[in-house]
Amino acid sequence: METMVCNGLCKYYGSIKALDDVDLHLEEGRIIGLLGPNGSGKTTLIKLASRLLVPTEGEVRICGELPSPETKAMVSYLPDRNYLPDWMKTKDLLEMYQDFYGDFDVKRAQEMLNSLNIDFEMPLKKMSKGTKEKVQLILTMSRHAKLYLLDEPIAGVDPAARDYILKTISSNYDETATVLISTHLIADVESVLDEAIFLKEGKVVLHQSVDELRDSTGKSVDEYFREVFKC
Amino acid sequence: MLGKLMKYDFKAMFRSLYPIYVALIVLTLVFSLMVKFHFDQGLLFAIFAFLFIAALNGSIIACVFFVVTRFSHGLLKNEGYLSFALPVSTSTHILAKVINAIIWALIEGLMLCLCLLIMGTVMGSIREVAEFFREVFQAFGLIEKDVLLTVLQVIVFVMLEMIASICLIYAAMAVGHLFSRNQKMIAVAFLVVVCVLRSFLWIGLVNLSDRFTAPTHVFTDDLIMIIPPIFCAGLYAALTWFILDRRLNLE
Repeated sequence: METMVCNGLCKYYGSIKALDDVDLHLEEGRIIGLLGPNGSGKTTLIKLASRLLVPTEGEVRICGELPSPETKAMVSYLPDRNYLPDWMKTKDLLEMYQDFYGDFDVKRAQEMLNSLNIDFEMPLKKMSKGTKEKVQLILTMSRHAKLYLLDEPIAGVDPAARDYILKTISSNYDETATVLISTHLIADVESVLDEAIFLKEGKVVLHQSVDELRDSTGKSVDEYFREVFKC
Repeated sequence: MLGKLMKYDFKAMFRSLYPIYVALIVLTLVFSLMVKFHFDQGLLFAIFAFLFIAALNGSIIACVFFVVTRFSHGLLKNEGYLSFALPVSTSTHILAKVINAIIWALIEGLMLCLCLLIMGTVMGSIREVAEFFREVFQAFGLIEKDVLLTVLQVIVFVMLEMIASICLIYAAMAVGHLFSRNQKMIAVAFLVVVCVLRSFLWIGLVNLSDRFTAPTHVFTDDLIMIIPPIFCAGLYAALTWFILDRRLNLE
């Protein structure tokens, strides 16, 4: 089953084309890397799928439906910034996610928070940047969503935190779900990817399974990415 | 979902405003006691009088400020990523913010009444205050029905004007969001322009009322008074919805 489909998807910011005629079909049960340099349209594509933006042309469908409050209930979105109210404590955030998302697994979240010794009574503003990012990721991955949209989940954290984040992603998504990870740190995520999408200046220049890509090019995804996007 | 959104908005506002309200009540008590026991001379009294007046004005300013920031931070800044990812429609988000603003405006009004009550009770006596309220209620019971109706109409009109003003502030912030630079300046400019236009609209409606009410009784003054705030609130809310739903671009 296709979790996310884009047909002729375009997004312009004034005269700037952020996404240009994107066609994509993402199957369930896959972890897919949305790879491209800064400004290639990765965040724009994720925002369109989350209904934080409206397409200029074309359409994106989530489980066959146009983005709406109903599709938002199926999508677990991790933005590329601190988006949670920093005065809230971890226990308040758990309560809030339970309130708004019927698919939120509070036990799973509590277990992951406990494994990291995160204090449930501590407000976010008193946490380090890395801990905040881990809390955000735990909340996102503790939902039984159909589609996980993770925008730069490992940017700006130390290598140990990166390992934890990638382990959390690969071990916590449902097998009927799709995980779309946007990043330009390919070497770090390559080991967990099933498929890779290369975005260049708003266009999809490659969408292939990672194994096929390695076989056909004789290179790792990171090496091939460097070749395609060589300055 | 509306109730849940309101719950979290209320919590966010409460944590910002309750210290101000506690300070206001404490200062009202201290000020009233100073007057009652004739410590109403000298520097200390001047300081407390200043603090009391500052707290009174400050609570009103803080209430407006936090209503504005709840909207801008909750929907147009980083928290917007959370808000707009929730399985909630844009119209529900706007409605929750408007209702929350009305609730806090009413709480602000109640707090000011409470301060007056404290002052009256401490400076005078509880019996005098009770007598005052008894007389007020008696007066309402004795006055003619038409006058009471007029008072109710004024309350309805003030409430509608308040809702229209809240919606206008939200629309102004949404318009500012359309621009990548000088968002606050553009929002203020929009607010000023709309207020000027509304003044002209009022003048026109008053003239219309004068022309039509006397001879025909087709329009009544009361009806004409109530139409503009309802119309304006709807217009501002629709503009806010259009921008947030169709032109949102969180950075």
